[in-house]
Amino acid sequence: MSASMDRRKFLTLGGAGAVGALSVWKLADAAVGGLLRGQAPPGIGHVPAGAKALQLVATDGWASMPQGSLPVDPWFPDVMAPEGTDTYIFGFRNVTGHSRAQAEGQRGVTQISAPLVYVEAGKELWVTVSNVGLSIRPDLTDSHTMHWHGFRNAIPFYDGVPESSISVPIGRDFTYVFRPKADSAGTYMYHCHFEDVEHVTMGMSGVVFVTPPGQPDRAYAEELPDTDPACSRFDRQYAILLTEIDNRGHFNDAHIQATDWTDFQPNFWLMNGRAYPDTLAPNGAPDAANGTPKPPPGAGNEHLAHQPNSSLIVCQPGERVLVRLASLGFQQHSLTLPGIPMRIVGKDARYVGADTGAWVDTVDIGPGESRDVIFTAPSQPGRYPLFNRDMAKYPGIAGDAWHGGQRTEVVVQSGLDAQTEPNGWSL
Amino acid sequence: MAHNPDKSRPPATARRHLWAVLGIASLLAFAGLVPVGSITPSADAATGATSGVVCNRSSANGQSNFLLTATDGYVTVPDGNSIYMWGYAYGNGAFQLPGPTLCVTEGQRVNITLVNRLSVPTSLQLPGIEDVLADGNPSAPAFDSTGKLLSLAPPIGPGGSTTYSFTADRPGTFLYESGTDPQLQVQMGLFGTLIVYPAAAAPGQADAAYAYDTSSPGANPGDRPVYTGEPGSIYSASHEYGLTLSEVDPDLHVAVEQATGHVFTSADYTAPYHARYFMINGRSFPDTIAPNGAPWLPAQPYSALSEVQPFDPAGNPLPALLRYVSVGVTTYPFHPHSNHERVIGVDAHFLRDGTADLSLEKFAIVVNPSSTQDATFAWTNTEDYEASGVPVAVPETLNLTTGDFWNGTPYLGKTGPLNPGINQKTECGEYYHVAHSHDLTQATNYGASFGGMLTLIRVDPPEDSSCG
Repeated sequence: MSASMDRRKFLTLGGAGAVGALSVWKLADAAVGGLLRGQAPPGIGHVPAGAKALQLVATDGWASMPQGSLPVDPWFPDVMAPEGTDTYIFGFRNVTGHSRAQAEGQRGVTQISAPLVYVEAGKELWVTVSNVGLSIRPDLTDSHTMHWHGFRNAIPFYDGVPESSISVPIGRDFTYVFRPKADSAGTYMYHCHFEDVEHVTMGMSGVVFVTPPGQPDRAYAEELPDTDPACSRFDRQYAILLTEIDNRGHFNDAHIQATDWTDFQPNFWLMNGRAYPDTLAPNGAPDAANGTPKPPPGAGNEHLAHQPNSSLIVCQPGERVLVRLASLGFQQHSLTLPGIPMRIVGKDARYVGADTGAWVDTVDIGPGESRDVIFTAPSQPGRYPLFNRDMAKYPGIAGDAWHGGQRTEVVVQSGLDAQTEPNGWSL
Repeated sequence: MAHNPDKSRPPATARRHLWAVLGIASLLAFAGLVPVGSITPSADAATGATSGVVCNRSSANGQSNFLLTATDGYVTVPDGNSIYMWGYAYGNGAFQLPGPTLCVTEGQRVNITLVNRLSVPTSLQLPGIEDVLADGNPSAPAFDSTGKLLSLAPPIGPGGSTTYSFTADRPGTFLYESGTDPQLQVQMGLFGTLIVYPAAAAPGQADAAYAYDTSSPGANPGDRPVYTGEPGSIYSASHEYGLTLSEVDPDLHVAVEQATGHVFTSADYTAPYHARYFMINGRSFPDTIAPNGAPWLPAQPYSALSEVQPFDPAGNPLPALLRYVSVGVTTYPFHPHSNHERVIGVDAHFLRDGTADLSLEKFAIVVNPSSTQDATFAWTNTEDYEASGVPVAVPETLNLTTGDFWNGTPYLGKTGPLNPGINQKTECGEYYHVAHSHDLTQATNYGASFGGMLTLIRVDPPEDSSCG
């Protein structure tokens, strides 16, 4: 959000939100006083057996678009950005298992996109959101939430919409409890719903998916043979979150300026928080000891410490590959994978079988939608581009028209180990 | 079918309080910004129902006869702006947005007379309706001598009128809109909904209705066709909602207003089109949740609030029905929170092919321009936390930011305190969930969050709660 007075004005204009703004201020005063600093996250410690418990810290930070991107004066690169970064972001980071003090120490250190999370249907997922405030904008007292987009039969308390529920003020924790039922398999998303248009596009978005009970190698609960087009069995799975960046909004947030979000016009298009060619770089990972972000291995990846999620799809010839596509951008997209037919087996976390599934060469996906797509890797090893077919969505640079857009690759090669985690890294 | 609150839902007296609170808040926001012009609510909108489809019916001798007037007026948006619009008045009544919802029964002959009180030619087109006659002749596109398309239907000059006739030969949700200079006239507000209800007898169950049926020829020539309801389209007749999605570029509307008397075409407006307001039923949030016929929204009679009670196989087995209509220029990714909706019809075609059920549960209802979708919706209290309690201690409200549409507890039908200064909107512990465009720039009023193409789903507690 913008400067404090602007923020009040904005909410007043929103009518019903006006009183909410006042409460945020009162709470902020308490938070600054640190009344309850140091308390254990509520809920952590008595998580039921079999449940997955995570702690995500919500804060701000900096990320980097591909090296060599053309400047968009004065918004990109941001003159305030620390060395090696260029874009102000909000985000979620995983601090599960770290101490309260370590979590607090992550203020100003975040990532886009958020950690990839999954849970088996019938089991519980507990997510504690810790709001540690914003380093660059201490004047902003924004709360945060976690909204599991598409969760079935949600109750408002765990739905994360500030106006119809609660949100998490600075200095506080809140534990969301999710109990996906047996029929809930599929690909969903999660994002902060506080001042949603701003917090989502600033980077507080990620993929969460549900596996069918007892069938970790299928997208949905069915037992069809591989030869059946509606079969959802896979050898490897990769999730890709589609988002966009309009650097004007990011710059304005860092520089205490208001943004008219109806002016939104992206200048970068991202997969898992990175634009091409960064999409191809391997996963990064935080330092296991202290949680400090580390860039992905390899020369030229030093700028990606705050964008740990790769979009590279690696598989062996003949393997079945599930791609979980989700979009939390604001635009409609079409992805294509030339030379490899794709079968849509799920839409919006719902199995589409023989009647409603489809063979496609292009996958359409709009804001807030998901698609589960399976393909069989070609027998011929090689690199197969997977990209947004809307060629107007690539800023490009001299010598590389794909630069800055939604393009990744399917790399088919032999001799791989079995996949142990989705995307090679997930929670 | 009109939305009739039944006895299982909270009495109107209990609900009036909420609307009074919201109404006053809205009036304060609009203080001093009363729209110009003579605007009174459509008589047909004043049914007393708080939300849900408001039907205009005019049926006699197996025919439905309607009079629409293309005219102009103003709507208000929640940031206080007042926007010049064109729209369809019901009969000789006042301008309204969207146009009146016209309801007919399958098999009826429908006659719609359109009177043009605008300063430019206009016409009516009905996507998906076949064999439309205009004053007895086929309603065909009009071209000039050079072959240039003048209008998708014979244009009606200022002051003129035309009667459009057709047979409503299949059930479903249709839209009507301007067929002349639609680039401008639909944006200006010339659109509305036509609902064709099936001819099949309703299911025997109380409050149950079919949205779709199939027809087969009668036994003998001249016999009435045999109509059979589609079991997959059963819904609660008292929980039927219309959601017409649109958007407004206010600069364009100012340009039109200032050019009154001038024959305006889209070519006159050279600045890039840029929508700033996003609407459901001609309203932007929070106006979307105000009741049908709210007096402070005189030209915007239709609420977009939907209301359900928890699914209960014995006591509340019927889903709500939502009729989505898009008259925008872009695809709207509409995201209802709380549960998936089952899309059962697209462009008034039931999603079944032989024995194949082509309906699909979606958490984004993606509605294309000039298209309609029918979806059923139910919410189930799967956890019943009211009995077990949530598994994590609820923090004191001082340690939370509390929203004014939150009941103060995790539980349905319970209320608890909110933080000081928060004016609690709930009446009896009901839940509110949002439903909105997930192009989140559209869930704003000119860029300000929690507005625009956004509404609420109200989940009322079961009958035996304090709401009753």
